[in-house]
Amino acid sequence: MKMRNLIYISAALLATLSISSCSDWLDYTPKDKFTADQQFATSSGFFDAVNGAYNNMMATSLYGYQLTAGAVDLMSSRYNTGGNSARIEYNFSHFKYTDQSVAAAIGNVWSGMYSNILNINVILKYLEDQKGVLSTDEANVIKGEMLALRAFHHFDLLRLFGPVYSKTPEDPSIAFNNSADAQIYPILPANEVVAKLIADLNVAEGLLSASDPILKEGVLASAADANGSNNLRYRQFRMNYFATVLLKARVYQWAGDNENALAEARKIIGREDIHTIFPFVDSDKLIGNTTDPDRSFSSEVLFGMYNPNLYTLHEKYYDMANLSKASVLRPRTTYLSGIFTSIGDYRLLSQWMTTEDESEFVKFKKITTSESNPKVHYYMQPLMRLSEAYYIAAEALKDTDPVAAVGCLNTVLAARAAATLPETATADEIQTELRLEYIREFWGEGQIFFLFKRLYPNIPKALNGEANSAVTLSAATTVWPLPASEQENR
Amino acid sequence: MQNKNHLLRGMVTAALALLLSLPQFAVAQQPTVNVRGRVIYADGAPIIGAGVVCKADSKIGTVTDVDGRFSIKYPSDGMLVVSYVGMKTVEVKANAATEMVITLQEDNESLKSAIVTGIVDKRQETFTGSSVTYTGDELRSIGVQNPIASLRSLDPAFVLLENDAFGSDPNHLPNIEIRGKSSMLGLRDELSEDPNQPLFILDGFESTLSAIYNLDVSRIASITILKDAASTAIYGSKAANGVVVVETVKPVAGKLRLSYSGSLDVTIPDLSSYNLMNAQEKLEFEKLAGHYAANGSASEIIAMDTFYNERLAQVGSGVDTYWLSEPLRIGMNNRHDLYVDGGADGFMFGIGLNYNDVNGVMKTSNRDGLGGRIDLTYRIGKLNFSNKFSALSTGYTDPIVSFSEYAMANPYCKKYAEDGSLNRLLIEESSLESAMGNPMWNDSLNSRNASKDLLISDYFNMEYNPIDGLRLRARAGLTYNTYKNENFISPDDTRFESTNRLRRGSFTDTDRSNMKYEGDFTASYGKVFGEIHNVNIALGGKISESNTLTQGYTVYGFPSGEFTYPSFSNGYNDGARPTYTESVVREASAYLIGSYALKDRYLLDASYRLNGASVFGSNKKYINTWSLGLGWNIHKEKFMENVPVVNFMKIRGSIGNPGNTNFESAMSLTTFRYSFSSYNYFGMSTTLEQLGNSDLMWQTTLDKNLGLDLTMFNNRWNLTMDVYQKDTNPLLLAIGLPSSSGVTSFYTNSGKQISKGFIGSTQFYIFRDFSRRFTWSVRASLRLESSELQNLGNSLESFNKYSQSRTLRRYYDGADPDDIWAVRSAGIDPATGRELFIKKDGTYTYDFTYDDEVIVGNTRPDAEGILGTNFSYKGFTFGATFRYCLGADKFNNAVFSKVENISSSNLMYNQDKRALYDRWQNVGDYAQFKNIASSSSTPMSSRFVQTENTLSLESFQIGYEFDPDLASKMGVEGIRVNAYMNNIFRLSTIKEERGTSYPYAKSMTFALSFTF
Repeated sequence: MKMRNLIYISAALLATLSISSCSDWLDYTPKDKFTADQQFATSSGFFDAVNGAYNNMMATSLYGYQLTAGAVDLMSSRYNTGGNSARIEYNFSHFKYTDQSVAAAIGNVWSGMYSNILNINVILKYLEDQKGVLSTDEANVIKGEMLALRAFHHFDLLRLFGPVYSKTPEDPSIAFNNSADAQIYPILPANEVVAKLIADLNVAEGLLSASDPILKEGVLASAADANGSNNLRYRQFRMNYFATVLLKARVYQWAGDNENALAEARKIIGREDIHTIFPFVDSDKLIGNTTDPDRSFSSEVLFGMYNPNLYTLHEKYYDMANLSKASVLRPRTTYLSGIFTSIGDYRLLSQWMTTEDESEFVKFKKITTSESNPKVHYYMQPLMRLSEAYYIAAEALKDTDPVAAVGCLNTVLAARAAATLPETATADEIQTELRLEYIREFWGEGQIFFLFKRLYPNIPKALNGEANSAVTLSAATTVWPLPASEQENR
Repeated sequence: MQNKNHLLRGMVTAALALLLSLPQFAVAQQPTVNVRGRVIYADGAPIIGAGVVCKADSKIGTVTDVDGRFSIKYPSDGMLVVSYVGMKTVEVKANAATEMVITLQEDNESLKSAIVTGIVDKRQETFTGSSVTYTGDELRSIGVQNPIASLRSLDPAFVLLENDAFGSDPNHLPNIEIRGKSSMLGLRDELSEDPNQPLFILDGFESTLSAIYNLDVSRIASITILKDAASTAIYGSKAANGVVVVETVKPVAGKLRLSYSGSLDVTIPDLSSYNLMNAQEKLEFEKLAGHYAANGSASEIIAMDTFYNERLAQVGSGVDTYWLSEPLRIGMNNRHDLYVDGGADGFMFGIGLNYNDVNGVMKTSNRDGLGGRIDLTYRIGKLNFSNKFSALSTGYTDPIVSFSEYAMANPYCKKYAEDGSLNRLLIEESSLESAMGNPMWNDSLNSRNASKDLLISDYFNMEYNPIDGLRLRARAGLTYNTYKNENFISPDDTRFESTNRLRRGSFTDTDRSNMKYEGDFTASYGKVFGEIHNVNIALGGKISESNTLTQGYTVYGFPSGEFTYPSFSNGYNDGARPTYTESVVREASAYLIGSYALKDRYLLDASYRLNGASVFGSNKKYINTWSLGLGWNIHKEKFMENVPVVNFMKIRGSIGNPGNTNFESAMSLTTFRYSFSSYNYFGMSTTLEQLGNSDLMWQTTLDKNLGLDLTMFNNRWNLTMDVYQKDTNPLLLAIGLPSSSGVTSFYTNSGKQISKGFIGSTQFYIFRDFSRRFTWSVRASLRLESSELQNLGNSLESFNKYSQSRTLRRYYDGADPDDIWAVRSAGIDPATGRELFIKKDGTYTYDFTYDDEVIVGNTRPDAEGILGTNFSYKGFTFGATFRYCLGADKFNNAVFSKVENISSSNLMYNQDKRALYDRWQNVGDYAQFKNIASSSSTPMSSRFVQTENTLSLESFQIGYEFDPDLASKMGVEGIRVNAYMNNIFRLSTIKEERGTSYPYAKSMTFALSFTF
């Protein structure tokens, strides 16, 4: 009798372990990760994922260093990197793409960019699958931003791994990755990639012009009130309408289509309110400010990254006081005086610190940041700025309407307190000034190499910060080879 | 942490002091006589661990030793009660005059010899699975350093994978395989946890490799290795790699007994595999390799010339630095274990304390452990409770500078400056050469890499036997483990040479804590019906939850090396934050295990288990595993009665599908992960962590085994043979995709792997004379294995291509996954110094192409095994264990990267002598290696593949157990002394650097154990 009871008890115990009750217990959801279905079930999930796609860009292997201040800047011969062939800086500066560390860095750019593109594609896929989670405006803005951001990634890959477009536009360039599945994409000719980029950017522009609050309310560079959300604020940190249009102008300019590049640039600089939305830097906040000068001229930035690691760039590469002489990045002596022809240029005064004949690049030097009164420029790493729209317009106009071109260029020069060009300047003179302007304006932001690659001139002696000699560019020096991780798995 | 340690130490010391004071009044009541005897089986074999208790006073008792011997101080002549599990208990009259011989008869109703599976015990005689049990004494006959090393020398199926990088690092856990890999192909990166590692069970609860590795060998009662499906499937989804079941000693009833076991080790570094250049050779090599050759501007040429001449002058003045000995020492280790046990009237206790201090052969490589344990058992009526509590606190320190940095240091550079201080840099940073730090300088700083580990476990067991044959058991276990690592690198370390001054020096803190709860319940019933039908059935279930929390941070920028704590740092790198990850794994399972034996001749085992786990993903929470085994005890048949030469003969076979969930299992899901480190205006952010394949199926292995157990010639010869086949179908593959797809590898199912193997072991007693206490036996074992891939198609084509310049491993249908694929080489052309390759069609060419790759070898040995002998005469024992390993092909990495393929940036490091002497220099040189002036890379051809045959002496032991009379005169019950030598020599047919980050070591151990 007793034994029977025991058997019943044990049977009951076992029953409690049975499948039905266990099932819930086993349904443990980890706190630090989500399945995609859980992620995109709410609107905040969507915005978290979008934020992640932007944050991925600040990896030092991508826009956090290599695609801005790192590899791309080094390849435009601006630093004196010494003669030690074991240093990656030297090897980038001398286009030694077979060097192990250079090849690894190039491989990381390629795989890092595409992995973020896949991330964007998954967001785009769920945007279609999970309609109704977001309001129409929110869905429009996210879709427009994601399409434009994907184009931004592809376009930089095209500029690095693609051919010199003006010479061989039909050469194989990169893969265009546009689905959320793991699959093999063909390597497309450069002109086909351009066509796909323009198509995506047109869709993005349409969506953003309908719903992007920047058009009505400006950059919204302040926190929402207590009940609001910042999701659609701080528009300079997002691929907003203007950034999308400027990207389109960049793509057209790269493809040699001056007419369309000009048309896109004019959508920005032709607007009456453009200097209300993106005012030029206020020199009072810059030159007279010793605590938190806005050295990256944040008010003019159309698109930038919120990068809390920004100041490490200065610490790791430019800090002359604390880095050994062989490892600090700086141009050869007397170089800067050839670039900055006006000594009152705000950029020279605020972004450079010159002592005797040595110049230290301080654009990313740590400033006093205040937690109670945070300002947008504290952690903004610029990727696109208003001045580029003027430069694109000036270059497009220099042959057909040099006076208008000089006008565009002088708008920027005047805002920098630099000497302006006379209205009589020739196309060549305009082009020469443009090259100097790219160097002055985009130091640490990586656009200069693309100017050289696009126009395919040699880098003249005066513009070479490495040594006092000209640099001859060729397909071998300006086209990055496809990395091993791509070729070996085809 | 420090406080806990002190507390623990204090508690255990107090408990011991209390106990040690007890015997003062427990013993020495009346004059005693010393009764000695041996307890044996009917066949004469000793019974180890049989209980011998005084009938009149159950407080007085002992257990028999490894030879079946006992010695007991007896108040007066009277009756002794001798008992052993599976045998009939006898009462005999004590006789102090001679050595008594007590023969126990088999008790058919219970077990003769049991296989401890950790869930239910099986009778060895009627079990159809493949498993082996080793007693603690057998383990201790090999060595006392750690149980894992002993198991390796005992069991041919238990394989420790050689790790050439970590050598004899006492703090590096080995990789272990039982019966080969259950396969995970196409993975490029090392998994954090070895997917082929067996499951470890300690006293019935899941444990870890590190807990077993740190277990003091004297605590072990037995280790059982479960190998085939019939024995492992009861562990379900984690059992595909085999199961290692460890039982620790239990307290024994009787008077208070104190046992001590201790050992002292001496370990000596073994550098015989190193073949590095001296100063003159190195400089000459650099010159010949073109390091100082004119290249670049005039000022650069002058600078390089100056470097050369300075160095030549150094060498001329007699500088020839030998770096390898600098970080090394002779390691001294000691180990002590104290155990007090006793009890009566159903209550027994044991209290133990152990201390272990290991000093590796590298100067800053130490481990010290202090542990305590309390074992209690209590029996009241039909209820039996037992509880095992143990705590172990271990501290580790690891070298800051890897041994390989000493191997790389240049012999023409000086250790010390003129003033006797250490040189900081061996080569100064200049615009032409990178800086090279002095490893001794870096070691002399107060950098440290220290860890603390605390493991506390409590296992509670309750059993109820309401009626004969029925057993109800409930168990609960709790394991708590914390681990803390502090890694401080001094700001003066030369690795920070090109780092910003404000960021020099780093401090990394890693904390991990794990709390695991387990509970299980088993009802088992066994009965013999009609004297011929032996039925056993067990039904049970288990639940467990494991919580792991890992957190850590790294701060940078220290003002100077004197300030080593994080509060002195300059802070996190901008934007960096502490890491914090939490993971919870829950599991629940139910099982049914049955066995049936007809007349003990025809045997059947079957099991089924349903496994549920939170890691399988929400759509696939459950996995089924099952097994079936059949056996035939031929020696029990009537017709065998006329064949007395055969003592035991069993044929057995089994089939089943144990699972493997050692790897991260949510690969079918697309997941996002929070990146807490990038909080901004927009709040949190999540990023794509993994793109899942929703069609993914689990990898299952069908495991088949056929075995024979044979004992003949009056138990003098025994043989165990097993053949097995493991079919894994479908395989889970990580296939490579071009990185423009956004992922680099993607999991998919394709193909299958068939692994086959043979394992045999045999032992023969040359002498087996128990009456004269004289035995001598020899033993040998053999392992043969092969694997084949099928139906892969071209799914791993991209992996094969990816591997071309990296490894020699390729996966093709019909080939073995361990095959080495390379283009055959015809050697170096004496005319040009270039390598000649053999094309697939047999013709010679200079042009290398991967299309000419063929199979040139296999990394798995053709045959591997152990040869051993054990000798015992009276109290003297001697044992030796050799390992032989034949026909393993190896890619010689030292030759590949230190003789050839020395890139211009690696030229500054020291290289193998052969790079200077055996490379081609002039037309007509018949050289083994290519042109010395060429720094271009050489493809991995068959030239670097060498066949290795090795013979090593793994263990050599001499021991003596004092005569009980002599021992009792010394006031103790028994004393045993042992001396061991481990890894004394290793003969190999190839010359390769072994132990690159940490050298290998030979060791000598002196051990002492006594009981009183």
